[in-house]
Amino acid sequence: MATTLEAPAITLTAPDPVPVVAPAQAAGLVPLATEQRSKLDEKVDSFIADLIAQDTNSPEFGKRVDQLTSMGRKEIAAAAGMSNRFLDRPMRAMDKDQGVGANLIELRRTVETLDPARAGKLSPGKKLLGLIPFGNTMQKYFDGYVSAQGHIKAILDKLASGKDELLMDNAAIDVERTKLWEAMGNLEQMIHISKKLDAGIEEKAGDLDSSDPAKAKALRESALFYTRQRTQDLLTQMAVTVQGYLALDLVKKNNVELVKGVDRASTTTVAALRTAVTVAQAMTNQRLVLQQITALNETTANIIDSTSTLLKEQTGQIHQQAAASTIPVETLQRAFQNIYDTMDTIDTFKIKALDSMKQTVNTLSAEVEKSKGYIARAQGQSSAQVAHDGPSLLSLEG
Amino acid sequence: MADSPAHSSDAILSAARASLNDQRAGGRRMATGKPIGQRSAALRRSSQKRKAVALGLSVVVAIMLVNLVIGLLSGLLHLLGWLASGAGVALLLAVIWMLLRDRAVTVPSLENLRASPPRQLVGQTQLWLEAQRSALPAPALDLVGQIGGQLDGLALQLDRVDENAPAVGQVRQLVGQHLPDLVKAYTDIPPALRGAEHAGASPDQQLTQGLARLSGELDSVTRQLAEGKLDNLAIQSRFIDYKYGDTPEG
Repeated sequence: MATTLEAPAITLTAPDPVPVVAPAQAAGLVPLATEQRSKLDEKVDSFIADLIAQDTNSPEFGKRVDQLTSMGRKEIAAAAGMSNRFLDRPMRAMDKDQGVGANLIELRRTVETLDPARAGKLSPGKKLLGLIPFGNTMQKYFDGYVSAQGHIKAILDKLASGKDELLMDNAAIDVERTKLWEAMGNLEQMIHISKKLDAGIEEKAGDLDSSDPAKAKALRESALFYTRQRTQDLLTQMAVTVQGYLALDLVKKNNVELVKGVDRASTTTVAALRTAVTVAQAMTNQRLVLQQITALNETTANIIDSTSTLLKEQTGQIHQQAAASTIPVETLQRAFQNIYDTMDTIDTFKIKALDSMKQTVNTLSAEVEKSKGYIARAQGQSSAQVAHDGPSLLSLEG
Repeated sequence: MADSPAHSSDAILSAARASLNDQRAGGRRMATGKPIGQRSAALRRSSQKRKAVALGLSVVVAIMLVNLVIGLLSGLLHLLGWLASGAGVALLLAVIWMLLRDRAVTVPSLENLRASPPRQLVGQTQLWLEAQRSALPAPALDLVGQIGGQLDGLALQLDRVDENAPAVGQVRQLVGQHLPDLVKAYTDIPPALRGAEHAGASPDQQLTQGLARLSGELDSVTRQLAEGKLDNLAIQSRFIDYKYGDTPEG
């Protein structure tokens, strides 16, 4: 009978760390629509035709090559800015000294002081000479609840606002990820362009090998060379961005799990307090009035919609058991065990999650560092010619 | 024969038409007289106000001095003295009007422009650009007007942004350096050579192209500065979705 009180076990899964994404695998993760593809292909074809038509020694040819070297400048800069921002994001929830983590620790400490297992043997006491109450440890124990209720309410309130912070964090991550997805789509388009250019120029150079070997050489040494370099830059940035995108998902998953944990910790605590109220009535016939907790019952049930049904069911069971059971203290102990179980689950989750997070941040920092070199090069080249080249055939907004 | 009037009649006619339109719209005096942005207009106003106050004070002092002299004299001279002081006041007012009308505000030099803090930079650049207008070709003037408006939008953003934000550095370069450098490079060219082709395009064309580019860049910087605010709303609405919506949490 007493076992029905057990809440379904809570499992919090820490997500796996984000693996290193190699530049070669980075392309193709964001799908391009067929019409997008054909539009880009058209652009590339007209650019190549235009390039071939120029005399390789003319400044016009040089201008076209300049466009190749700065291809995707804006896309790379935009994506780079966003990946860096991920590294600035503090791991708020994981932080031991403040926020949700600290509040959970405080809750545990407070709950431990109320644990019936610590109170020693509880007895309703006897009446000396049938008149004077004597040795009523039970009464003293339940008095502890009255004095602790304000503190517990404060912690639970803090946990609720901590949960809001986590949700806000996830909302920010969602927005960031949507933007990253767009940035990745743009990078993908530029990668498509540069790969297409690579193949196209290579082919034209092959055609010209017999008829105009000098031009074929110039094409290979300037246009093709810069195109390949640019493809590499774009792929490197894409890899970093994909990794940042996945890492943000990791943070979000962590937060979701932590929100679950916070919900459960609040629910089990409130359930234990309710049990205490019932047990007190059954055993000592005293009416334990926890006004702040009663108020909390309502708000908690409202806040934690997903678990409020569970809470309601449990309360029904508690009432039944406390009334029927011959050992109501055991019921109370089980309620406390539920809190401890939840908190232990959260702790193990946090250790694993922190580990995943650390690995992810390390790999991402290393990759961002690597890509910075490329970006610096890209920006150096392009700043020289911002003012004087016309709208490039190779820019996305054309 | 290339220089014969008959040969270039088209060009002459179109120039005449442009000139006519220009004059109908108020001419160069009109186009270059108005401030191009709110910031420079505000700077002009405040500078005028300062000057007016200074001049007003000196008028009061002058009248008091005149009255003091008059007070020392008496009898018939009294009436004459009042007339003289009236004439003095009229003269002073005329001087004030003249001073306010012209050069009400000091146009910053390029060095001062670059040294000014980010929040004042925009207004200073507007003032500087206004002073350059008389030397610029017609299509560039339109762009300068457009850039003036964009700078106003940018200034509004800058007022609300942390001075250490990365975009602010970009604004500095763009507004304090690249824009004035481009215009200065143009005005350094002797006027007679500005229409002649050089290095693939005439200086007139190059200036116009450059200004168009910078105008586009100003747009994107302004958008970048506003991005934080745009994000903020998106985040708030997403959060409300999470908290009160039907979607599962997180």
